[in-house]
Amino acid sequence: MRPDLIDPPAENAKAPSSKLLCAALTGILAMALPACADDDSKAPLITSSEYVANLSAEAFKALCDARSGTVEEMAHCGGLATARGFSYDTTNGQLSEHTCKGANTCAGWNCVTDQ
Amino acid sequence: MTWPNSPEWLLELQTRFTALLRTPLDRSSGSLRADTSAYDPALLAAALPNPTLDSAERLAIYHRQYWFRLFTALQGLYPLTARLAGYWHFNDLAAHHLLKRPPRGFDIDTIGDEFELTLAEHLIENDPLALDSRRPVPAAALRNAAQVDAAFQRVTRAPRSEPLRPGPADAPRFDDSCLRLTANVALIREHWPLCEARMALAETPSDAPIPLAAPWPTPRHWLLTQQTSRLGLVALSPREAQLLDLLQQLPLTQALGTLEATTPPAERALLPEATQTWLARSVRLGIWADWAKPRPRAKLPP
Repeated sequence: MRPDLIDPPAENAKAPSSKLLCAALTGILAMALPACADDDSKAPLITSSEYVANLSAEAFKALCDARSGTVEEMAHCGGLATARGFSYDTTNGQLSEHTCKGANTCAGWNCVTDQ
Repeated sequence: MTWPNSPEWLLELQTRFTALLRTPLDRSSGSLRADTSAYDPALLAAALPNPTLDSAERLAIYHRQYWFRLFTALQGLYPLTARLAGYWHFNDLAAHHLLKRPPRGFDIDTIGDEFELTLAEHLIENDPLALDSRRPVPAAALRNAAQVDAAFQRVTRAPRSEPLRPGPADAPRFDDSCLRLTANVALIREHWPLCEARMALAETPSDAPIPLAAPWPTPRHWLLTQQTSRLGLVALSPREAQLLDLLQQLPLTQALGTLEATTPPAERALLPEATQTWLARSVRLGIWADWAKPRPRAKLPP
């Protein structure tokens, strides 16, 4: 690797590496995301649901990866899906699509796709 | 508008009556009772008897109701703490708080302000196992529970505000300003499984004591957020929580530099992508209120 492509060591440095700064600005300016905030005024909504028996955590992650999503850890009852996506309730086998900030179930996983 | 000075006799009566009301109820018998034998003789002389109650009994009604009303209100404001400690012991802690920070306003919900601080001060000086030898609850767990209850209170009571959506025009702030959280969110660090227990209490109210679950091997971090009319918990990774904390103390660029410097080298390669995701999510959830001048915060007790 060429030395000029290596970020300077971060120890004792107050300035972040250019790669981190660039990624952070992309995140905070939400450049990489369609505006989910448009849905703020709408109530969280389950838009579709189907029964899928015994979906494992690995299989759910594969489904999420296929849609370039991010698996979010859920609080047990009272959790919050932070954006558009889908979730799986391990207690009743319901695989559901939801809108921005949709409600989660009490057990299972959530995948934020935002698309 | 200015008010005339109260007559001297009225001031003295109010002072003596307030002192009586604020005298904690006696707990020595195993139930809460007003110890009328210790009542101020001057106040007893001023309070007239009626056909069924003598002066002391009449004053005792006010005395008991003052404490019972405040205990009930504090139990409602700190339900997790109350049910972990048990109401008997919670009321004792509540009495310490109400003596140290007596109510001074008209809004009864404000009597819980700083209860978690009173608890932290009081429990540092006292043996937590003295609370109840049959159901010992570590002092640190009660303090942590009070912090969780306080966060739920603050977020629930906060008026809905318009969040900050940073744009390119905010670029000059990245080097000289930190971010301030909206009042609709709180960052919580827990050492025991408390946040989800607190959320469950809101959904299934009951008076039964609840057991304290085993502590986490390492602290967990949550973002508590009020979205429309619904409270929600979002789990945060320790590094994400660290970033959100740093952003409230340091300008963005310095916060990122500090985050990077404190991230172990093995994790550093994944840090940019993760940071992008965390910051995008923070904006999406509307957790930021505005930019502010950097102001390092006092370190909280663990």
